[in-house]
Parts: sequence; C-alpha cells; structure tokens
Amino acid sequence: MISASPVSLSVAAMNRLEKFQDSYLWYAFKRDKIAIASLVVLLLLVIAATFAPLIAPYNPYDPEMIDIMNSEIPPVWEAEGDQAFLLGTDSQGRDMLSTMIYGMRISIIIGLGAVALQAVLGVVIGLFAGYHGGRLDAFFMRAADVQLSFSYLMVAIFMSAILQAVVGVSRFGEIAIPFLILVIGLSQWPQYARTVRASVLAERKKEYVEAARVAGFTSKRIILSQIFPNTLSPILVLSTIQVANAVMSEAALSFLGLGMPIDRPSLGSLINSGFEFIFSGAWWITALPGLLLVILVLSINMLGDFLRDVFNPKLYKG
Amino acid sequence: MEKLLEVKDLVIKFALRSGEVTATNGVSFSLEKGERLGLVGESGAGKSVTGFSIINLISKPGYIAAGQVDFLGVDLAKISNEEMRRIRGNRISMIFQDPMMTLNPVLTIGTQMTETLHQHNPRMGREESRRVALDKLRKVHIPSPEKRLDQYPHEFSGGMRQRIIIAIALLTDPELIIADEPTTALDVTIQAEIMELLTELCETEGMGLILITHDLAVVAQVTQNIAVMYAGCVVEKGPTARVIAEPQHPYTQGLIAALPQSRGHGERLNQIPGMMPTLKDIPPGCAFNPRCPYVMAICKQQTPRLRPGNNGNLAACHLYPDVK
Repeated sequence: MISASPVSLSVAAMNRLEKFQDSYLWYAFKRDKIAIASLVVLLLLVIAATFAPLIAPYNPYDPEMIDIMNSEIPPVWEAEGDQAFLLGTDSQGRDMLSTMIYGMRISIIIGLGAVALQAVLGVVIGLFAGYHGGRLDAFFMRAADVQLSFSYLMVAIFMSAILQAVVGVSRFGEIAIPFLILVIGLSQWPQYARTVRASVLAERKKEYVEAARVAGFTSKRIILSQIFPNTLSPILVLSTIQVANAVMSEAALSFLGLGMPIDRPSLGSLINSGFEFIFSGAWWITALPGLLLVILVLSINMLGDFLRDVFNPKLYKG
Repeated sequence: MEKLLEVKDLVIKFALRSGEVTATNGVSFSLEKGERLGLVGESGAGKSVTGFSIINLISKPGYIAAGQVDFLGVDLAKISNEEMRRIRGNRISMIFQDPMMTLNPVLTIGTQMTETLHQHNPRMGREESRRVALDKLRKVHIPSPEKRLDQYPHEFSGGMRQRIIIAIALLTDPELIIADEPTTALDVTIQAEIMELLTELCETEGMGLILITHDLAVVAQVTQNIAVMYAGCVVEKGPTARVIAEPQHPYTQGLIAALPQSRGHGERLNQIPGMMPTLKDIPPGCAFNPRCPYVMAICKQQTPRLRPGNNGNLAACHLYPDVK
C-alpha cells in the first residue's frame, strides 16, 4: 500500500493535467489571443522580477556600482546614450533597467502581499458574516461601509506620518514594505468581504448546505469546506483586479513620498524621483518606469477580464 | 424487539407574524430496530416537518412545542444542539428528494464522503476514510467505485446521484435513515431500483427506515408498517398490507380508492371531495369532517383519538368505539 501511493499520486496528477486540457478554461484560453499575450507578458515580467539579481546588469542597491558621474545618461537610442546603460541612468547614476527590474520586484511583492492580506481578511469576514447573518453581518458590513467611505490615501497618510514619527524617517525604509502591505491590505478588505458575502447569501440557501447541516456538520465546517469552494470563482476574478489595484495604490503612495524610499525604489517612487527632471529633458527617468507600470497592470487586468468572461459565461461580451 | 425510536404526542408549531400555526398536533408512532415505516399523506400534512423534527432541524420559525422524540432512550427534543449535531448524520441520516441539488457541485464525491467521515470521526486517516467510502459505494452498487470517487456530481446521472447520497447516508453506519421522498425526482424504473436498494440495505445492515412519501405504491413495496397523516395528525396506523387492503379511516379509504388502478379504462378517477384544510383553518373536531362521507354530529365537536378499527389497524375515527 505504502509503495503504491506515490504512483497513484502521480496518476492523479496526470489525471488532473488531462482534465485541465479538457477544461473550458484551457479551451477558451487557447482561442483568446489577448489572454495569451497578457499571460506571456506577465510571466516575463514576473520571471524578470523574481530573478532580478541574475537578470539585471547592475545592482542598484550596491553603492559601489553607482557613480554619480554617470547620472542622467539617456537610453542608448538617444544621441548621448551609453552602451553600458541600455535604458540610461537616473539622477543618481543608477542604471535605469536594473532599477526598474528591482523596483518592479518590490511593486509585485507589495501587490501580492497586500492582496493576500485583504483576501484572507475579506474572505473570512465575508464567509462568516454571510452565513451567520444577523448582528455579526450588520456589524462587519457597516464597518466595511465606513472603511470605504474614506480614501485609503488618507488612512495611509495618517498611518505613515505616525509611523515615521515613531520609528524615525531613517529607519522607515526598513519597514516600508510590510507597512505598505498592511496599509493597502487593510484598506481594501471590504471589496472581498462584499463579494464573498454576496455569493454566500446565494449559496447558503442551496440544498447541499441543508444536506450538510443534516449530516451533522458544524457550521465552521459547512462554511469552510462546503460553501467556500463555491465562492472561489468570484474570488479569483477579484484577486487579479485587486493585484493590479494594489500595485497602482503602492505606486500612488510612493509617488506621494509615503511609500518606498528612494534608495530602495519601487516603480512608484522611481516615477516620483524622475518627475522633477522631466523639464530638464531627462524624460526617461519618469516615463520608462511609468510605461513598465502600465504594462504590468494592463497585463494583469487583461487576464482578469479573461477569467471573468470564462467564469461568468452568462455575462454579455460586448 | 427493541424500540429504536418512539415519537410521542409531538406538537410542532410555527410562530408566524400573523400568529401561531400548528403543523403537527400530537403525532405518535414508534419504530423497532430494523423496521421500515412509511409516513404517508398529502402535501402539507406534516410528514416532512415530522421527519425534520426527529433530527431537531425544523426551519425557523418552527419549533417543537410539546412531545417527545425518544431515540434509544434519549429524548432528542430536549438535548443540546451540540449533542444533536453529533447524532445527525452519524446515528440518524437523512436522504432528500432532489439528488441533483443535495450534492456539492464543486467537490468530488470522494471529498464529500471523507468530509462527512472526518466530521464524525476526526481521527480517521485518509486511507481509512477512502476505504470506507469505497466500501459504501460498492454497497449501493456503483460500478468501478475507485474511478467514481474522484468524479464530480455533474458526471453522474440522477439515479447514480441518489445512490451516492444513500452511500453518504450509510457512511457512519447509522441506526436510522429518514428518507424524505427519495424518489420523487427520479423516473419510475430508477425509482424501483432505488427502493429495492433501500430495502436491501435496511435488511443487510439492520437499519431502521422512515420513508416519507405521498406515493402509496412506493410505500407498499418497501415498508412493513404505515402511518397515514392528515392535517398534522396520524389518522391511521398499521401493517402495510392491511392498511392498503382494508383501510379503516375514511381518509385512507378515499386515498386507496383514488388510485388509478382502482378504476377501469376510460372511467373517471375517484377523488376525495374538497381540499385538505390549510394549517390556519383546521375545523374543530375531526379535521377530516368536512370531506368525510360518514360524517356524524360528534365528528364536529370532538377530535377522535387513535383506536382499533375492525381489523386491528389503529384509526382516529369516531366510527369505531373508543377504548381507554
């Protein structure tokens, strides 16, 4: 029996692969050129970000590699371009390409981290509030309303001001990533809670839930093992959109100077740092990270649109 | 024989905004170990709500107002929710009407079965629970169960799904199964198969069965005893064959006479005149009195208790003398 189980596991994996190849998801994906293109672009960006130290020509965090004399060199296709710096350098002499790849890494980490946090919070609250209803539901949904009624930027400004005062501006850089994850994660949970609650309200009336109750399931088990899998498709669709949103939020916060410090820039703080040089002609410091941000967010959003269409076949596709 | 379940004077009420409504008014019946009992009646007679009251899961605003549900010496109407939850799906299982709806669409059959096992026996390992699930699928005659275990409900036909639901009900080797119209959503040939299966399982596993249905043919095929319900009361009780051959209560007589086979080809079907009263306006005295062909003065004043009829069936009717 014991020697047989790995074999049966790999058979199960094979079955799963076969099932996936038979599935509508794969079928629809093969026919959707935009979805394929978005996934390819997104995968390239994520791979580049993941293996940034191997791919990037320079290490933008290493002061040894930065020479202020190299500052504001334009990209190679411009007249004054330098072969050594493919996309030019920024005002401190950092290689733009490397800095952008490292910056994208930070943006993606914050985006995924924030979404993970808001998803866990929102899904758990949505599931339990939707299933139990009554006061629990009323409390959390009103809390969500209150939360949504003021901008996350405002919350972030307050929190970062307080935090910077507490830990000091110099050490703020060290905790900037978890701080941004926390701020963006906490401000966006109502999106998940509302979506999940709406599907729970529809699911909990269904007979399989009643059957689970009759089978003596605890309500916790009904929620987590019976209802939760049925709410996954809206969660999946929402998650893609929310990752894009979180990346944008992070960029916005960093652009306002509330996010990543300039010595460990994310895409947003890169855009910010180059902003003042636009009029001196060094457009690439702002424009290139901006372009990368647009491509990243766009490819995620396109994939999200594709998933929404697949999971929601009744939706009108205009 | 040992008593498995005894329902005594069960009164179920619904607290509606417009006032209280009595859904069952003093229902009593009992079941021995391994016995198969049919609970028969029209829609709204209180059959299903009686079934749900046994596992104490009447949907709000319903509640058990009085009476006992004695399951092997424990009054299920009195124990805590947590104690009841441990009995539900473990020692008493329930099978529903629509097999299309009662399985979770996004989980494999195997997952749903092992979830049920883990709920009632958290220490059971993966291999062990899979083995038990396979064993039960074989018992309900599912072909190639190893393959079926990893499939989703939509990959099964209606009859197969009902078999799986029965297999799930069997998982924990319950002492009692309550089947609420288990074959209404299936076509007739499948109905017969499912009923045969249920009968066979009750015999081999020694389980008690309460079959809730409005289909007299189904009841005749499966059960040993029948309790006929009308407007929230049991109006007749007795061995199946005798109740169907010689019904004592005028309502049961009307039901049997209304069967299509009691009439020749081209003839108009018999019917009981009138409608069953809604729960809000049950007439005083015997609830059946406005429709009864033998109605007497006493029927409009006094609610009859169950008493032996001419052949030993118990009937709640003033036609037969009351005994203390």
